[in-house]
Amino acid sequence: MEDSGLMRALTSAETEAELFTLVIALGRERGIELTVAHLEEIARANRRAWFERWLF
Amino acid sequence: MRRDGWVPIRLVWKGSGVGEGEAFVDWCWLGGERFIDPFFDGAIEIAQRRPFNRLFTHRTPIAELGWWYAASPGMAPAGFIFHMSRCGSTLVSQMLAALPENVVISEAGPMDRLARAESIPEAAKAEWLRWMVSALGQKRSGGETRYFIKFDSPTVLALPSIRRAFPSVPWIFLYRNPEEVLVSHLRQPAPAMCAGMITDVSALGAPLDEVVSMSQEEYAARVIGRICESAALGMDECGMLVNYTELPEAAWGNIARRFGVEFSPDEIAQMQVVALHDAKRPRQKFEADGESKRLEVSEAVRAAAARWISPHFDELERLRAAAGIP
Repeated sequence: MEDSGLMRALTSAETEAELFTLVIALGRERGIELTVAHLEEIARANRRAWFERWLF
Repeated sequence: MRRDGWVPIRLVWKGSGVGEGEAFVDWCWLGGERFIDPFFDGAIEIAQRRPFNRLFTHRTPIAELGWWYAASPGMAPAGFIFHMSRCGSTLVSQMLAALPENVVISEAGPMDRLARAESIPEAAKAEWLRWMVSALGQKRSGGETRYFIKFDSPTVLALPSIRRAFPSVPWIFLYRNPEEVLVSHLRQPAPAMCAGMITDVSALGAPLDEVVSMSQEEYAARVIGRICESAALGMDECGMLVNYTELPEAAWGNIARRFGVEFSPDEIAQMQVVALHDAKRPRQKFEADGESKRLEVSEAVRAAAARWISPHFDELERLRAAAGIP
């Protein structure tokens, strides 16, 4: 998040598919292997946490 | 780390509850987008659907807010808006938000919950409030010059804490005919008017057994009454009372003067356009509903309003008249 170029690239993705493709490619450049399934699970967990904010 | 484009959206306590344990802040990426939604949570809900925010969440210790406050102090608030609820406060905030020079934060959950959290020591709360207000008051497009905050209606119960943190910021309290407000809440209750939600039931000064057996009319009337009472008790040299009947003209008249703002004729024209529409549903035209609400006033509503709200409403009217504001 301190890398403004990286932030600009990530925040400009207009669809989830576009973002996932970008994140997987950027991860690979950095030696991190990510899959669409992995990213989908993260997005789902984040959404669940956002809804659950009302529960406490 | 700089936090340009990020906004705090939630306070989280890791520990046994609000005010206990360690406090953290959840952030959301908003970029340079302005707050134009009638409510902060609505704007954040939309932002949370963006691909980036769906994938990346960001949580920091609350000290990060302090660091951001020191590194990039936000605009100083020009005015605070408190209200009785269902009394035109969203109209006022939307008229202000219509002008690109204004940053308007309307009922931001993290700010309201922080102000109302009773278990946080007052000194820490004042400091955290200043941090939070600063983080939300960052210039979004760069051209903003004024910053206004509308709080959720029960937050006026925390008026002393807010005044302690911001002793020189002008504030207003908006209110309306008690029966009309009560009817509105019976049609569609706000969370604060439902027992146990938002408003601490202890604020009603009644035993819990009594609270749980109250009718909907009585509970809502007692909450609204406490809200009005808090405004009357907190009235000071920075405060001003505004009756719904003074809207919309007061937005560019008395309210603007109290906030130290002078709107140009063009700006007033933009605000007047907003007043033609329903503030909470801007795609719909505004229709005065006082008459229809008065037709719905039941005996129970009349009695509850008379007993729990009207004495405080009358005091607000007395204070407004005594202030001699035309």
